[in-house]
Amino acid sequence: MSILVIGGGKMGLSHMAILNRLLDAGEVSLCDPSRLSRYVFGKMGIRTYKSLDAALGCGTAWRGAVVATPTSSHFAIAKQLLERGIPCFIEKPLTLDPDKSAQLAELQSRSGTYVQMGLVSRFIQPFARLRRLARSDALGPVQDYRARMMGNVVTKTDTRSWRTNFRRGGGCLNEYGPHLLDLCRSIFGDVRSLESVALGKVHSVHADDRVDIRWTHDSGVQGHLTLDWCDTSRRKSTTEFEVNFQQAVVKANNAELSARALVDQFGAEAAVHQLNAPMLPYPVNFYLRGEDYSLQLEVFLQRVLQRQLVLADIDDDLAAGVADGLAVDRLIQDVATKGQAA
Amino acid sequence: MSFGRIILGDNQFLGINHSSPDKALALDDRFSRPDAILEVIDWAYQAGVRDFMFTTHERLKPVFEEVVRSRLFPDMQYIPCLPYAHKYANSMTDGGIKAVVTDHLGGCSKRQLLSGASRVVFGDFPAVMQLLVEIEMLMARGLNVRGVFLQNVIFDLIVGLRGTGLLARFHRHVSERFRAVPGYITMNHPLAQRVLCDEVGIAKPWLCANFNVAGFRMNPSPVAVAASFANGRSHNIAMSILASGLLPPQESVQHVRDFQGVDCLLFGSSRRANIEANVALINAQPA
Repeated sequence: MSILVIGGGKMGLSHMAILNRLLDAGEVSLCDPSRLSRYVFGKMGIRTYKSLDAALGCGTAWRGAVVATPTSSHFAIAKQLLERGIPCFIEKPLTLDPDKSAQLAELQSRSGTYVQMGLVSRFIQPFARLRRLARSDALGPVQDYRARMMGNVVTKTDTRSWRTNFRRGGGCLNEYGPHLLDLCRSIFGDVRSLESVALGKVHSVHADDRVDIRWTHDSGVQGHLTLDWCDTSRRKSTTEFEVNFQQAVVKANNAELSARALVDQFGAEAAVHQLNAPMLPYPVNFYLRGEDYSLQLEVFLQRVLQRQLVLADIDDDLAAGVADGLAVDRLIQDVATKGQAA
Repeated sequence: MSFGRIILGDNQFLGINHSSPDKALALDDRFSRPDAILEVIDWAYQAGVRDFMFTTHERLKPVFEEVVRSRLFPDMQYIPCLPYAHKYANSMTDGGIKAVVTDHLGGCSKRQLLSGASRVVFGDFPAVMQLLVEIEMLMARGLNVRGVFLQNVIFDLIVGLRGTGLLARFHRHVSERFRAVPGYITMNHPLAQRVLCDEVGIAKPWLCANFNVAGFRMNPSPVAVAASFANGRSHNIAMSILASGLLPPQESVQHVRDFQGVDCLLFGSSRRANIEANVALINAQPA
């Protein structure tokens, strides 16, 4: 029952700590080329490998792998894992090239191997509730919505960091984009057409700092999205939705969901009353840095180990798969192309 | 009893509100001035609170300096919870390793720093905890330190990684070098208790965890947390007692106050009337 975490950086560390407590001691191993990383994890009694070849060739039957390496290496690693039929949890974004993402999606589709994307925002309770609401008839169909993701990640000009270089996976669109674009797709369905894109710079020279998108979903719902990672009024990143349903306006952010009825109908008022009642965060088996981070790994383990782990009441199809990862990569490319042409 | 029954926390000073980003933003703005923080400390002190559990956030540095200089709160007991990891990350982003060293290590005891660092280099990995405590405790200079707590972000991470040697070293260093009570903040009380008692071998450790009538962030379940609070294997500080406003304060405070396994109640508030009301409620005898 062994799980392999590939990459011992910030995300790998967090995934490792959660998995290591969801499973018994010795069931999670690490693969990282860094000697320091292997030393530190080794001191905690965690088995380590210096390369993926070493891990795959050691004779262990891996039940799943977590890919938490820099995005540029996702394709090669995921390909190797999928060719061996090892279920994967891959950090977002899937790759930096939609053609490569499509190859992975094709490989996954042929083998049927389970792949889950680390699109963690789907597991934030107010957004999971909003998704359920948009897919129900409780407040009538969605008309349109406004979505924002704001934070203060970049506060000064830095030309050397990958973070402010679009080609190396940096920029607000590459960093914030997967979260918000995926959330919108997850809640409102596939995107049919991209109406307008405006890319703005504040501090970055080789990447965007602000992105404004207007698009229409297959359902006809129109969305207006804003990404901004230079908002100095924010202590940490926050995502906000304001959704116009036929019978109510619903607001959701990382912490809460609230609704206001638009029509004087008993059904709408009762639904709104229920939505406005305080909700507890999702229960998790082991909390490290937010319920969403634990929950996504509980879902992954439950699926690959076929063992009941998830305590929270969530939809079975909440987690993002490889097709969602590909769709997000394509949307990012489309937004970037349209924005650069504008 | 190592701590007073009531402890004031610092979430409000750092702009943290679990139920509303807007309220969090307003708090962050208001407490960007040290005077605003000192004013709230003064209200709590006047209401009879003597124990203050604050992080080692840089925002609190001028506040502590003023507390030491002014001697306004002679009976104040400080319980640092550490580390405030973001400040290291910020220095790293701004000026790399050099900035981390000059910003945070400059005032350390050279002997302690050298001793800790050489131990780590020569394979005694748990000595990193010794180093961490040395660095973090710089901010507590001149204050009466009663306990030193590990923040949940680092404690639960170590629990996740099963780094029991690190916890044992932290416990020993805080007890021996600072003669203070070591404690642990956690979001997983039942697991933390099992790890500390059974794997590290600590008798009756001090734990600080969410405990509230609503069951807010009590993992893996409110029933399991209530059971581990009540089993007598640990001393317990209840935090998030108001569950970020999910229920009326009176009901919330009374529930926690009257629960047998709760040794102390930790709350944060930015309003004088709320602080006084909570203190009165906690001190009142159960009906």
